[in-house]
Amino acid sequence: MENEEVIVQRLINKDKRAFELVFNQYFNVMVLYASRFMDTRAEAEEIAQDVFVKFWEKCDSLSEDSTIKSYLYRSVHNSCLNAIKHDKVKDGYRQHVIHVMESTYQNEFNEDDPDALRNRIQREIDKLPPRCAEIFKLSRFEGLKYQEIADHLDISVKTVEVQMGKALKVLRESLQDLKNLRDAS
Amino acid sequence: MEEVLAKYFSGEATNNEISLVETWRSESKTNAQAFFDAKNVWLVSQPETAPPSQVLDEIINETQGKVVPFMMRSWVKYASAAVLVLAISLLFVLNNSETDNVYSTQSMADGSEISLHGSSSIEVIAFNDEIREIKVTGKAYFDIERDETRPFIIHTENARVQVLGTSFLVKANGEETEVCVESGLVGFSKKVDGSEVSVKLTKGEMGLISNSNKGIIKRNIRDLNYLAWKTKVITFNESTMAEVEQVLEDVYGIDVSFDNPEFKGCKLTAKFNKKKPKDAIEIIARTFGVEYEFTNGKAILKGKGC
Repeated sequence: MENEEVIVQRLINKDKRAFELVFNQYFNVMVLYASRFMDTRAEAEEIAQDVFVKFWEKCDSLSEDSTIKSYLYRSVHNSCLNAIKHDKVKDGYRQHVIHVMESTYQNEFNEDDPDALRNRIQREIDKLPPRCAEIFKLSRFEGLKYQEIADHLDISVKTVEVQMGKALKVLRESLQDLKNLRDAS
Repeated sequence: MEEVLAKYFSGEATNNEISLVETWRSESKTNAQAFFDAKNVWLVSQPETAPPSQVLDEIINETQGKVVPFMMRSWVKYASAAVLVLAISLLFVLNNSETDNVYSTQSMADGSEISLHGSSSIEVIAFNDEIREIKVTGKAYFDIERDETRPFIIHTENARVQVLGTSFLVKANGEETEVCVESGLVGFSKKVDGSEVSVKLTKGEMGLISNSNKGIIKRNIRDLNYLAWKTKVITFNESTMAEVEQVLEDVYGIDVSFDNPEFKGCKLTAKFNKKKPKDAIEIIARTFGVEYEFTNGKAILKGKGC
């Protein structure tokens, strides 16, 4: 964020407009980050919202050299971790998520640039076979249901299922190197 | 597996497939990491959306609500033609407003505002350069514009409330009239054997006039939620679920029931700051670790509760 020091100073003064800037820049990023760990989008949104509520309540006690981004990431990270730890169901998957989260606690969150990630995944999608890429884009970017994709492209729903699975597999493998997708241990 | 995962993330999976995925991802560390990675691919490939301005408003307003608890920023001020016609006829019963199903707010010509709960009503007796006089039935919150030359007088079946400029709640059901003072000074009086008995009430005090009682009862306001129907800030402090049920009904106009009557005896300590009814129910259900249903303004809490 530009002029972070100025923004922090304005937040200390409880400047609503400054909070709005921070909110607009980071809210969706935080929902996305929380979504990695939480099972539903509703839970992720709730956590992000709570973090912003507390941030706004307490921003007049920020220290002048605070970094908004790492403060928010750290808060969301800790809130998610707490929520999962307090979840009654702790199956193997959630245990693994707890492990991943605890071992990435001290990570430098600055590498977590969603725009860079988005560009990267766009390039990887473009490398997929054309039909596969088209189907994946219709699903993810246009929000079409499998049946709608099938109707639109005049193919069977089964073909959509197969191509979506293929796209997910290829993308997952080609993005293996991304540090923030990995278990840091 | 990737095919089922893609269906799982895109909401196309059947119930069987959902449980298949959730079992599979718990079976080994490799599976768990594969699920985690696939999910991240799914998330980062989602299109960018605008930040939700409604959430921003909620956050800014919610916190303000805490600092200045009774500053009703979003009072609905409306004066439809129908209301005007009725006002001219000096009798008007307000309909529920568009923004809240439990109350509506009317602005008077002098800038005073009256919020009426549920089917409560007011009747204008005289509203001119010399006097402001109305009658209320039911529950209403008044925020009266100060005017020392024109007292504001509210009549109920059995009592009279006189103010210059202040905010307070009046609850009148024919048998009893209760006044809770939010700010300023309120004169509260009744006729006893032809002469008038009167008390003065200030901020935080309530007065009660009852047909079954000779005098006027005066004490501190104990009900934490007497204005919650208007502020949507609800506080429960070791409240029984039977009380909670009443408050939620009063504040949201929803019907709360329990499939196990024992639940009514459970106690709740919680604060809800401008929550939506469904969210409040969900928080309660989670607090007690029970399931719930919420449809068409009817909530059912399931299980024993505590």
